[in-house]
Amino acid sequence: MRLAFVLPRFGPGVVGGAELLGWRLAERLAKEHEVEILTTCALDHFTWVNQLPPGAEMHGDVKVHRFLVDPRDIGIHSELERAIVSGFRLTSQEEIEWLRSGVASTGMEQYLESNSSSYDLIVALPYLFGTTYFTYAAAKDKVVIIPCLHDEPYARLSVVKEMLQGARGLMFNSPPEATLAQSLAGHLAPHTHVGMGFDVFPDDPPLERFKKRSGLKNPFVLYAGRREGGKNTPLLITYFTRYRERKSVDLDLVFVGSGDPIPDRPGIVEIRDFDWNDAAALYGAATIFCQPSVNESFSIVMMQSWLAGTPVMVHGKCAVTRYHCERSNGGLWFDNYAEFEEVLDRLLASPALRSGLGNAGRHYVGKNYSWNAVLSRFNQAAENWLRTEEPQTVH
Amino acid sequence: MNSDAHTNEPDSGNAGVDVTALMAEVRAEVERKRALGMYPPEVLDDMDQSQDFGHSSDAIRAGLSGLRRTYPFSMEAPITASRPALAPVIASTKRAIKRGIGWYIASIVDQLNNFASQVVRLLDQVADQSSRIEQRLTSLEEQVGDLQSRLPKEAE
Repeated sequence: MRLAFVLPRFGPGVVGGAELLGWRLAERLAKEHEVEILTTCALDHFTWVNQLPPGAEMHGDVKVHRFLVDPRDIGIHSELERAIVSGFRLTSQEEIEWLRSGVASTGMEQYLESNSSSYDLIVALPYLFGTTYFTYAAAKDKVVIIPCLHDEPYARLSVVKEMLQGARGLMFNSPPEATLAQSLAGHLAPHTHVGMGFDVFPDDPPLERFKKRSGLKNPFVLYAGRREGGKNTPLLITYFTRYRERKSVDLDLVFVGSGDPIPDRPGIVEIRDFDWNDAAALYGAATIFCQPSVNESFSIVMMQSWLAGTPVMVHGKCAVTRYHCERSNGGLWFDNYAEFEEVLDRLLASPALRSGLGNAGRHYVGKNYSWNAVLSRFNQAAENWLRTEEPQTVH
Repeated sequence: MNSDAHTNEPDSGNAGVDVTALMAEVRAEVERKRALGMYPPEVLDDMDQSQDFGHSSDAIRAGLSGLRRTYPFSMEAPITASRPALAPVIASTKRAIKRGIGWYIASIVDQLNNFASQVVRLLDQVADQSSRIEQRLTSLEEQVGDLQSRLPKEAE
């Protein structure tokens, strides 16, 4: 197959679940198919400033085409964004204007108009960006969308419903994401669950050496990822601080990642300039991993924690992470502080419980999200959708 | 065209720990502690606010629960003083003022309590009506979804 992946950003230092998912899939599929990436010259998802030159380059086996981001009207974008978030209904024209003033590339669209016939399928992700919608608009009979859908106001736009109904195919990261899409769009395009693959972590990572090097003396709850309201990290800080005060325990909360400043409170620690080559040691050294976000379509970091055999705590209102915990028997959840406290008490009191949950999670990831399993699901769906005039949903 | 949302569902993990049963124990223990009054007000408020606000009627009921805890109003105010040397004089003065205008304050507090109870009663009715509307809306959405799925593709 000849595949193109359309990503809003790609390159050094780009941090984002959807971008990582797209790159890892493209990279792996390039071992058996001809794969290219179409992306923009931007690296920063706040400014969308063109930082890299346009043109083509190779990354391993993947050819990467970069296109300039069109000039943006930030004023219009902010006004429309505010209306969306406030729950106002936009006209179709306003929705297109919002996408155009977000991140869009006329250069990429022109390339697709001329070259889409040379690809068997064009995989675009995530749902929220102009690059995805305008790719769909340019070649909808070839476009497979990996939505990375969240239950948020943007998901209720008519352009999103249009893509969910009209794409050649949809690849969801989890069954709850598919359920959400169905509740939003009703009648969906042919779809399947694929997700992201993971390599097994090395056995016996040097945990004690890692802890000593990082200055971690106490047992700790780990959070890895962006620190911001959208990821519910302020809630985690509030709950942890309250827990520490009520219980007077020597337990730390360790942050790895970027975003909001770390508050100066006892027991809250940041590991700066973390080398992700030490991921196995980081997750393995953690007593518990906490994912407080209610807006996840997959949660790469949760899966990585399980790969290290570390149990997880998630927010009960996130259908996706809670689904994985229930399905795997690898994690517990909380809906409020009282449940957070009770769950944490039980986990800290029982190494056997932590070990049982962590091992169950590791087994679950190995069985369902190994690269073999993920690529098998991707290929089965892609071949099915290419083979027939009337593509079917793949079970 | 089959549109079953749960396609390629992940195989479930090993059954070493039953997390659903464990979470039921967690919630039961939380309720037990709540009934025993073992949580401070900020934890109780957090529990009320964490109710599922997917339905607006639940949000109204959570707000009502908070409202009920704040009334009826009382005209009892602390009659104490913190300055040791003047404390007896200050406390006596406060008691005298209370005796002097207590009849006036009581009348205002009665009106406020009456108003507050009317508001709570009205919000109860709003919550009930909101709940009925939500149920009707859910039913209508299901019917629309069913009708849409039956439309021929060309007609869309």
